[in-house]
Amino acid sequence: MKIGIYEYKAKKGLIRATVSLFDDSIEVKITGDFLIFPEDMVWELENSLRGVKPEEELISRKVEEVLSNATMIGCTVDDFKKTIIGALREVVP
Amino acid sequence: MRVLIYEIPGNPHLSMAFEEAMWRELQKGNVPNTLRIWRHRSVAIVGYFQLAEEELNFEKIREHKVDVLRRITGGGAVYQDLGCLVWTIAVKGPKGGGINYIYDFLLKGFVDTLKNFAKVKVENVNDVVVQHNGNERKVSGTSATFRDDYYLLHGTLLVDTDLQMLSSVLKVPKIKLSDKGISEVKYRVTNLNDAIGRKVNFDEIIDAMVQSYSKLLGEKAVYDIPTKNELDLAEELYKIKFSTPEWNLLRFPSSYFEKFRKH
Repeated sequence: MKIGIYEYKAKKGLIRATVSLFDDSIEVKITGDFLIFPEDMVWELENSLRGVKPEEELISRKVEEVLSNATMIGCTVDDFKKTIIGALREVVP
Repeated sequence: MRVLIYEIPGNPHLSMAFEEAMWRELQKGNVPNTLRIWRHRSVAIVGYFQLAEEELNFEKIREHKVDVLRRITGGGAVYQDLGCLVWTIAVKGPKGGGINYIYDFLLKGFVDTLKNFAKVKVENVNDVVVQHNGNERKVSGTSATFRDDYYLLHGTLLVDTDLQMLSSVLKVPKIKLSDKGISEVKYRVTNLNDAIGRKVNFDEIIDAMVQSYSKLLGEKAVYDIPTKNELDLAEELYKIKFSTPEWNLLRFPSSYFEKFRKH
C-alpha cells in the first residue's frame, strides 16, 4: 500500500486528501477546516470513492456526483477534485 | 429567547455533549430559541472534518494537560481557556434560510455585541475582525450548522486567553496562506483586552450579548436553567460519543454513534 497526501488552500479553508493505494483500488480520507453542508457529505464522498480504480476521470466524476447537492463556503467541487487528484498523483505518477 | 449561562469548565467533553443535547432538543421542539454562554478550562477543539493529530501539537498537549475535543461543526482548530468566552445561538428560523440566514442574520447578534467595545467588521463570510490603531485583529472564531429550519451558530471570544499556549498547541499548516493575496486573519489572533487596551469584564460582554440577540430575534430574554431532558441526553451523548477516542481523535462521523443510543 502506498499513501499520497495533498493539501490545497481554497479561497477559504484548507482541504487535505490522503489517498491510500492498494493493488488496483483506492481509499480516500478528506480532512481540513473547510465548511460544507450537510456535513456528512464528506463521509458519503469517502464511501463513494472506497475501492474504486485509481483513475482520475472516474474519481472526478464521483466527486461531482456526490458533491453536486452540497453547500460550500469559500471552496468548490473543483477544489475537492484538485485535492484528491493531487494526492492520487503522489502515488500514481 | 432562553438564556443559559450554563458551563462545566472542568469537563469540556460533557459541556460539548450538552451543546448537542440542547441542539437536538431544539429541533424536537422541546426547548425554545436559546443563547448559551459558557467557558472551558484549557482545551483544544478541532473541527468536525479535522483529524486531531494533523492539527495539534500532542507533545505540548500532554505537557500542559490540555484536553482534546472535537465539535459537531466544520472549520478550524481553536484553543480555549477560562479567558475565552464561548457562545452558542440555536434557533428555529425561516425555511430554506441556509448559510445566508446564519452569516447575514444570526452573526449580526455577535457583531453588534462587539460593537459595544470596538470597531468591528466581518471578512471572508465569517471572520469577525476588530480594528484597532489601524490594525485588524481576529478575536473570535465562529462556526455553524443547520438542519431544515433549525440553525446553530457558535463561536469564541478571546478576552484574556493565554495566547502563547494557543500558538504552541495549534499547529501551523504546511501550506503558506498568503500566496493568493487573500486576507487571512487566522494568524493575527489577539485578545479583546489587548485589542482595545482595557480590561473588559465578562459580565459586560454577557449583558451586551443577551441584549443584542434579544433585539435581533425580537424576543424577550429569559434566564433559565437546562431541562432534565437536555441534561440526561448530554450525559448519554457524553458516554457514547464525546468521551470516546473515536469521536475526538479518529474523526468518526456523528452517524456512527447513533447505534449506541438508548431510545
